[in-house]
Amino acid sequence: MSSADIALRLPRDATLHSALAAALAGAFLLSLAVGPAQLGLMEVAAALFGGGPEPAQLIVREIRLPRALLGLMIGATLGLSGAGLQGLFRNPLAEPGLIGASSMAALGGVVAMYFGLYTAFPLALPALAMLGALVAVTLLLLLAGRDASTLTIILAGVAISSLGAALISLAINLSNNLFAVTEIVFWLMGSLADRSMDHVWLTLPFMAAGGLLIASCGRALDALTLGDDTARSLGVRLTRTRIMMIVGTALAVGAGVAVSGAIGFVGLVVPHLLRPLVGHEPRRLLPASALGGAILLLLADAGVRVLPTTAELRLGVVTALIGVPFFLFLIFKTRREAA
Amino acid sequence: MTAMRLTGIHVVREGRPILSEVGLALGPGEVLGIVGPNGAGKSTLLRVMAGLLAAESGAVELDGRDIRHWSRGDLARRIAYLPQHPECHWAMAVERVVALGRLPHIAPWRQPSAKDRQAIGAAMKAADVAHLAGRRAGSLSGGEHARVMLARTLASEPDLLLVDEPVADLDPYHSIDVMDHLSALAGAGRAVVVVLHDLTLAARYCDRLALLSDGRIVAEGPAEPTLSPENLAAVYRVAALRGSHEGKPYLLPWTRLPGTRLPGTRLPDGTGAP
Repeated sequence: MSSADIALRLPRDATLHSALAAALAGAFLLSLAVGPAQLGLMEVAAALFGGGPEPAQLIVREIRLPRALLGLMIGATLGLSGAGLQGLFRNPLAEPGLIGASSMAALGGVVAMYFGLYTAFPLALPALAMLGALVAVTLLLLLAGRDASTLTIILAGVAISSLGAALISLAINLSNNLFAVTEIVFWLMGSLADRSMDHVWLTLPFMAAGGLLIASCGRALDALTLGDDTARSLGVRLTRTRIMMIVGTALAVGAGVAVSGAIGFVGLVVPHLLRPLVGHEPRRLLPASALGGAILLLLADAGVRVLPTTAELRLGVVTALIGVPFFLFLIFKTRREAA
Repeated sequence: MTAMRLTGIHVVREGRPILSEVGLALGPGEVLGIVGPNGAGKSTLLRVMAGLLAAESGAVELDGRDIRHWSRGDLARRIAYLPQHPECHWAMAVERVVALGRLPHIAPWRQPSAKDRQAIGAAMKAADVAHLAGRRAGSLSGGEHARVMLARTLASEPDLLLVDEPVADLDPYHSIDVMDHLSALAGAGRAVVVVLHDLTLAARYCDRLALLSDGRIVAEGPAEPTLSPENLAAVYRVAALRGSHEGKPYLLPWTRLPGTRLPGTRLPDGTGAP
């Protein structure tokens, strides 16, 4: 029996990755170019590499560059962890925000702010945020079990999110410091404004480690397409995979939330849009979603700076305004497919 | 030479024994059929053999070594397992689903080699799904889906193939085709364990049958004695028409016998074997 006549196509994502990388470069430049100070593209480029007038250099390198870098990093980790969680739960509605990871990470951040821990010890905020995300994803796995239906995941996510929100409200309620309350509330809305390179260096290692953990689960996520038993029969160590995904998501999402506050729906929208372009394969979806998440967040963050509003819109507010209708559309679509 | 040996397997779930005192040996080049009524413990036995379910007591040995001492990866390169209702959660292309069967042979972060691709192509051809290569899982008919999943199992070129009711969803043409192929695999020196409800196919294609009833092996051996009228009456509560064609036995379950039990209920005397 000859099988040479069957030309097996190996999927190539080079074109897709190049297109996404080009779009990402564009979004990154846009993010550097947009702001209250009117600077041309050439001025921005010159300032970035230490040329041109002093104020322009200061604006580009101290204000806009960290903002763009954080947008890229946080967007990429949100897209990656969304795609990873969807593969793990075999469910297109899993997302760091919807499953409560962001909310619990925010709770960790609020605890650090409430007790003023982060002024004494800067790592306290990301550390507690990551701990919060870790608790959330572990809780979800315990609540929803292995082969969770969409409904179970969403319900468990609602419960975990509500827990986070309730405890945050409690902290705000008990606070008698109006300044602290304002700080917490604005931080919760999610923003990349006024961040520094310190934020970049503080969170980069955690996001990189988390991203690497999620990315190395790609094979296992592919195998999980066929169910738990079959994945194990294909050599996947399930417990190890789950732990790697939990820790990876906690590191990536927790570190992101610590810097930007809760930014939802990027991890839901991006994998869904890109899935058809990678043949619906969980492993191939991971790098594409990381690139896509970075693009979306950079564009959204450029958007809030361009929109002529009296106060600058918060990034988390904008992603939620885009994301919620999309989420409703997804529910509608899932329901129609199930019918 | 023995490929796999089971001794004294006990599996208990929620206080109820699912498998009791199960012992089996299987050599290369052999097709072993596992038959028995609903709830007899066939699928559980297959999961124990695949190393997916740990027995309360007893041992499963592969090549003389306890299965618990094998790493998941080594086990995956030797044994392929096809569950009863194989699922595919994402709308992946058929050839990519089949390619998942090669995962144990492909190092992390690597692309499939020429040998892997050849195995994937051969598996698709063997399961008659080559023409579906570009179709999406989820857009397939029940029979097509079953054959794609079988191709996935064949793609890993296992020494031991464990398949749970591979023909349940197939039309007669493809049922015979799949059984022919499993026989051919055994002919090429591999070992096949197949759970079957279709006693006609079981009698015709399996070198040896193990008849399970309420978690016990009540008869084991060639088809004729194992599926004797007495055994069929005691375990299945049916009588069959019998004959032979071209030297192969056939039997066709034909009538219920008085006192027929409902599927899944237990015989009052436990085993029911003569």
